[in-house]
Amino acid sequence: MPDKAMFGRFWPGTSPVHRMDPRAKLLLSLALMVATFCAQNYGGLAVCAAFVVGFYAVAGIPLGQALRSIGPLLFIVVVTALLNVFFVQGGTVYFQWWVFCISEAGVASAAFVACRLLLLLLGVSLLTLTTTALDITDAFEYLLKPFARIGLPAHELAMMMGIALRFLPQFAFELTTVYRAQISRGATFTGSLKGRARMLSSMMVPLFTSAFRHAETLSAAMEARCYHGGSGRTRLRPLAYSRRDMGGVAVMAALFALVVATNFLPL
Amino acid sequence: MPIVFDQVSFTYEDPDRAEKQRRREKRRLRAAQRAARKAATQGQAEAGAGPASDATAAAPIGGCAPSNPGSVPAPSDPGVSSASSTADAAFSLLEDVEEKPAWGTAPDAVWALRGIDFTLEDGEFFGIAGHTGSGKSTLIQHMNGLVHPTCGRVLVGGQDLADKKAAQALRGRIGIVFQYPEYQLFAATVYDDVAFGPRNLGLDAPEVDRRVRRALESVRLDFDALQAKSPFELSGGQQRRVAFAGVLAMNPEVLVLDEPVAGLDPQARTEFLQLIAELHAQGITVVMVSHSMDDLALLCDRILVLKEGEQFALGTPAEVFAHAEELRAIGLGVPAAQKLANDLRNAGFALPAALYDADTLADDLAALYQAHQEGSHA
Repeated sequence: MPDKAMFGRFWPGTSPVHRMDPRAKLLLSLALMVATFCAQNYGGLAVCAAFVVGFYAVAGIPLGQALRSIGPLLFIVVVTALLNVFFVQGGTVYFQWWVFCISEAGVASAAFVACRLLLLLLGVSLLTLTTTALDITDAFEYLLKPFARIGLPAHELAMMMGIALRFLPQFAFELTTVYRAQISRGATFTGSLKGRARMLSSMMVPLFTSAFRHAETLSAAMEARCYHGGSGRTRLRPLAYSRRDMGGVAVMAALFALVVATNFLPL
Repeated sequence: MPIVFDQVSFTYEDPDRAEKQRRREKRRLRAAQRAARKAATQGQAEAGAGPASDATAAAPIGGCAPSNPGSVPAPSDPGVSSASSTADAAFSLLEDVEEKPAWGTAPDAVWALRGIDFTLEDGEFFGIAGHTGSGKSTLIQHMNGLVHPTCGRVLVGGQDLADKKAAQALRGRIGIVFQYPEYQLFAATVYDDVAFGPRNLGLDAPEVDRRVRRALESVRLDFDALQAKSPFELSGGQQRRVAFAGVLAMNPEVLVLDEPVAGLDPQARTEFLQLIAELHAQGITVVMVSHSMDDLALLCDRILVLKEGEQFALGTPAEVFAHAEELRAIGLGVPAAQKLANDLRNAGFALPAALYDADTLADDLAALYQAHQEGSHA
């Protein structure tokens, strides 16, 4: 479908980032998230940003594309920033009305949190942009394997995650169609609260019924192919770490070192 | 209220960006081509000098053009051919990018529609045919302003749909039934679902009630038996009727149907097509997208055939289906009876009518046979 720039959509390529082991990529992107949270000042965030931009350059994904792919999630950034504006107090007060109060500390923390979240989203979307859903699932399953001994259904969890990822674009597409159909029947998003609620249900109910329909079809298709869960299942392409992954680890270690170092700088 | 498509083109991508990217790619290829050509001439020069210098080094392996003059050796012809073949590869690469489709559609198929230009007249039964991905669904979404043309205009009753208010006001008058409309049912009861459109139009309760009754009646569903039921309890065919009634309850003047009978069993299919024909007979303008050439030939006044977003043919069924070869070339067929008629005509039989269905063809063939019998007896 038209909407090429979407969160979670794989961006095909043969860059070193694409060819890294998915397990390494998964762990490293977790590390990237931790690093972003470790950064305590703008210096640290700048280091993270430089690395993230570098990763995108190596992966050969245009940064504009990346930004567009996280576009739909930007509201999270905005909401979090707004919460910070209103709930963090301190310093000079810029604006006060009723219970709302915008202060220096609030604005500062909002800006900082917004930057951090943006980096976080970019970092995570790098993983999904350069790794197929299947690979992510494999990595996930592999990393959960140790917990299988205490009864964690690793394979099933991974399968669920893979299916969820696979159906994201599908549901986005169906939602557009339903939206257009209801718009054609005169529905509007503006207007009374009741009308808006009706509009929302006119989109959500079809989405849920479609999810159930897909689930039934998919389970039938899986059973028809003798799917019986993870036990005794072999792989077509076993995962293997390579030197590339060592490189990734080294780069991430450097990132950590720099972030921690900048935390001690007077910025 | 005619709908005019005035040179409508549409792309899902930003055309400037796409154009820029294409130009960049072309430039990169040109550079590669130039480098290859340079290497080729170099290779030739060296090859010419080769025999005289009587070098002893080994020939370059593979298709690699020689790069270092000192080490380049005698064998003249291989050097030239390998170099020029690289150049050729670059040429063909360039041509590939320009002409060969990447997947299904042409490479500059960033354009979902190109230069669509026609007028939908009042009371017409208008068919739209085309291969998968030829832009049919995109085209019909232009008809009530769900998507706006990148270039060109869509005028409904003289009003440009680019004007959002006009588009909004016209939505009630142009009803679009999407593919698999039953997947858009949502309300707790059949009544509420069908009433969704009229209520959105701001009609009062008695009028809504009237419309729901009439809409359910016109899709031949029993109002009293079904109105309080959940639409999800119904059979697939009934669900589609309810969804269809939901659009009819808007009292549209133009009814746009995207594959209305896809996935229905043969009987439901016939009934549904009959229903559509009846609505058309009541004076509603109908636009129908279909893969079934038989259905289109049977019902339509005019048919528009799309090919990769472009207008491939537009005319009466007789005009369109006279070109069986061209249609086959773009992956479409002609109605079975018409195909047989075309073949027979090519084989020398004098069949008078331009468009045939099974009955008329049978009649004419019988008449021909009779004439032949009488002729041979006489």
